[in-house]
Amino acid sequence: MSARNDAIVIGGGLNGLIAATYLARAGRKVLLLEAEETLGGSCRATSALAEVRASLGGHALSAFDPRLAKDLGLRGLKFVLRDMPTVALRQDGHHLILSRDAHAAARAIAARSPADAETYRRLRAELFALGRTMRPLWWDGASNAPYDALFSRLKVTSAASFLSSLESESLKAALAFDAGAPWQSGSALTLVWRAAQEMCGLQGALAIPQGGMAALAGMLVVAAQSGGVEIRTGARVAKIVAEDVVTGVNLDSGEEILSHAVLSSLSRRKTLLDLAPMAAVGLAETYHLKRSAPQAGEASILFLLSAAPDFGARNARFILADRLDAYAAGDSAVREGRLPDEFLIEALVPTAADPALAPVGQHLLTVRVPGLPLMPKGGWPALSTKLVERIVAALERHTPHLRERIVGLDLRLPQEEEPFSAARLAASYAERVSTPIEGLFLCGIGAEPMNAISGRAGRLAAGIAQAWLAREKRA
Amino acid sequence: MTMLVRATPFHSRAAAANRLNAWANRNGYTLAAQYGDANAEALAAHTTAAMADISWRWRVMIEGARAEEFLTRLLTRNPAKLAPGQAFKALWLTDRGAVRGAAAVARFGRESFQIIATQSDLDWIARGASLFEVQVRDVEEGGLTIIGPYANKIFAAAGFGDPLEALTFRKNFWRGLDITLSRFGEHGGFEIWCKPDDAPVVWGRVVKAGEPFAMKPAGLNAMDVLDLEAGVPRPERDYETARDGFATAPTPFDLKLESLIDDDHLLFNGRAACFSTPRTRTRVGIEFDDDKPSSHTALLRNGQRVGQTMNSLYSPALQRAIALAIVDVAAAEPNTALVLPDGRSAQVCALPFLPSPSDGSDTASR
Repeated sequence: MSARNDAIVIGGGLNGLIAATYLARAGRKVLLLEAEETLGGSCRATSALAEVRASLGGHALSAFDPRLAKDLGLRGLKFVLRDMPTVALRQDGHHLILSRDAHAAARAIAARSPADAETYRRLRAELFALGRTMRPLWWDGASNAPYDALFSRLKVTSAASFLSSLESESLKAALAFDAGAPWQSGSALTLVWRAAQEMCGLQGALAIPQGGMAALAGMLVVAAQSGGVEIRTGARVAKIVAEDVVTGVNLDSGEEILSHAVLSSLSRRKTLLDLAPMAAVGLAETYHLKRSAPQAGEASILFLLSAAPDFGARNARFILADRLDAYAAGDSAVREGRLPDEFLIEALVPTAADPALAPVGQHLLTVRVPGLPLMPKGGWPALSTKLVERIVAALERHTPHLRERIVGLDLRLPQEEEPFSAARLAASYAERVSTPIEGLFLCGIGAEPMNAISGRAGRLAAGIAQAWLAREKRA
Repeated sequence: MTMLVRATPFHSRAAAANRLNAWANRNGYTLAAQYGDANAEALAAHTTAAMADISWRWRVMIEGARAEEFLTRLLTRNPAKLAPGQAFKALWLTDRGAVRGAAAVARFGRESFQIIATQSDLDWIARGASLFEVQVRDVEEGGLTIIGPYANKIFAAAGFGDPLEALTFRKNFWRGLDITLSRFGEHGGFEIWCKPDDAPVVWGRVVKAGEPFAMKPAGLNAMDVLDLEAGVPRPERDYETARDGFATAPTPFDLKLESLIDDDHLLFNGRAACFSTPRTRTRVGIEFDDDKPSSHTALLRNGQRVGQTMNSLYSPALQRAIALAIVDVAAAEPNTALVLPDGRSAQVCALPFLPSPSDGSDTASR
C-alpha cells in the first residue's frame, strides 16, 4: 500500500494545479489527474488559429488571489494590463468610461447626468464598505457566522433594485453585467463581491497576464512539478470510489487509484452527480442538484482582426448592454430554448497591451457572451453560425464593417456553468469545499463564491484537505 | 386556507355507532374521537377486543424495476431481506441523519412495496422515487384494526383461515370480497384492508364476528392511549419530524428508535451522519403520581432541566397519567425521580408501560 496517495486532484486547471501544489508543498503525496492531454483547463491556449496565443475559456483574470504569486513563487507573473476601466459602449458613440478612480468615473458620468454621478459615488462607497467587510469571508475562508445579519438583508436584494436609483439605462446595464442575473434576489451580493475584488491591490478588478492566460497556467504547471506533484494527463476519472469515506478513484481505463483524500476541481453538480457514487450523496442533495440543472451558459469567441476595432485603442473592458431589462428578457429566451433578442457582451482587445499575442500587424478581439441556452431548439451545431452572425452584427453597431477586418475566428459554444446562487455567495469556503462524502473536497469552481477564476478555491481547499488529512490519517 | 376533510369508507357505519357524535380530524379524515366512553374503549382493548378505523393511515405503493434499490437507499432497514408477504418497520432519515418518517413497509412482489405510515411524507418519497424512476401510487382502501386478547379468536370466528404471523400479510377472498389481512400494528392484533365500496359490509361482518367477544369500536382517543401505553412515539403527535432535507434533529437515538436501524445495512440515506452524532438523549416513559396529564412540559432533577415530555394522557389501565419523554441519557434509568415545574413528581419507567394487549391470556387475566 506504499503507493497509496495522500490526495488525488481531479482536473489540471488553475485551481487544480494550485491545490495540488499547496498539498505537495505541505509534504503530501499528490497525484493530479487531467482528462485532456494538456493542462490549464479553461486557460489553456486552445485556439485553433495558428500563432494565436489566447485561451477561449477565460480571457482575463477577474479576481486572481495575489497571495498565490507570493506563496507559489510565480516570479514570472507580470500583468500587462491591470486597472482596466469598464467602458459602457453606447450607440451614440459617447462611451461611458468607468475608471477604477471613482472621481474620474463620476466626472465621466456627470457629463451626461449629474444626478447619476452623485448616485454612483454613493452606491460605490456603499459597495466598497460592504466589500471591505466581506474580505475575511471571501478571501481567507473565514466563518460566515458573523455575517448573518448582513446577509439577511443582502440575500433578498437584487442587483436591479440596488441600482434602481440610477437614471441611465446603459450605466445600470453595464454595472449589472457582473451580476449575471440582476433580477434575482440576492444578486446585489455579486456587486459587493466585485467591489471586494476591485479593492484588491495587485491587479485591480480585471487583469491580463503577460503571455495570456496560458502563460499563467504554464507557470502553475512548473510550480506544481517543482513542488513534487505527480501529474498524469489523458487520465479521465470515471468514478470516485467512496462509501462513507473516499478511498480513491477509478479511471476511464478501468484503473483504480487509491487515495486518502480526493479534491475535485469540477463543479459540485458534476462531482456529486456524475462522479461520486449516488449512495454516498444524500437523497436531498442529489434531488437538489438534479433540479437545479443550469439552463444557461457562456459562449466565447475569439476574433483575429486585420485592424483593431474602432473602440479598441484603449485598454479596457467593453460592455455591450443597452438596458437592464435585457438580462431578464434573455433569461426567458433561454427558458424557451432560443437565442436572446439582445446579447450582453463583454469584449476585450488583448493585443492592445500585448501585441505578441497575435501575428504581427493583427489584432485579437475576445468576447464573452453569457446567458445563452445550453440546449437550444434545433441544437447548437445548427445555431452556431447564426450566433456568430448575430454577435458580429451586435459588435458592428460600434465598429461598422467589422466583418471585413475578420481574418479568423474561433468559437467556444456555451459551456455549462454554476447558476447564480445567493446561498453560494453567503456560504463560507469551508462549506463550499466540503461535500457529504468525507475526504472528498471541491477545489475548483464549485468552491468559489462566483464563477470567476481566483485560485482561492484551490489554496483554501488544499488547507482544508490538509487539516483533514492531518486529523484523520495522522500521516 | 381551506382544508379538505374527507370521510373514510367506513363513515356511514361509524356515524351510526358514534353515540356522542364526537368527531376528530386526522390526516385529513373525519374519524370518531370516541364512540362512547373513551376510557372504556381503551380498556376493552386490554380485556376483550377493540376495533378501530385506520383508513386515515397514509399508504403508497412503490413500484418499478428499481423499487428495491430505492427503498434500500431510503430505509434504515434492508428491503432485500423481505420476501413477498413480509413487512418490517423502518425509518427514513434526512441527509444529515434526522428522522423524517417512520412506517411499516410491506413487500407485495419483486418490484412492488407498500409504505404504511401514520404521517404523510409524499414530498420526500416522491422526490426520492423520481431519482430512481420508480412510481409512487396512492392507495385508497378502507382499513380496520382489531386488537385485544380476543383478537385471534375473532380472526378465526370471522373465517379468515390460518393465523397470520406478526409482520406478514396476505390477500384473502372472504365470502365474495377481496381483502388483505395483515399484522403490521404495534398492538399485536390484525388489520383488514378492503376496497372502499366493500367497507360497510366489512364493518358489519367484523362487528358481527366480534359480538360474542364483547368487541367495542374504539375512537382516536382510545387508540392514542393504547399507542402511548405501548410506548410508540407518533410523528407530529409526540415529536416533530425533520422537514428540511438537511435537518440534523431529531436523530433516531434521541427518539430511541435505533432498533429500527439494521446495523449491517450500509447504504441508507443519512447513515454516516446519524452514527456520528453524539448520543446525548433518549426516549423514556414517564409515570406521574397523579392522573393529570402534562404534555410538552419540562422535567427537572435537582433543579436542572433534564428533558421534556412529549404527548401525555391518562391511562385508564394504569389509573394514572403517563407520557413519553426525551431526557438526557444520565436521567434515563428507570425509577429516576423527576419533578415538574409545578412541583408535582414523576418517575422514569421502562417502555412499554403495558405489554401488547393482544399477547394472549396473560393480559386478559390482569
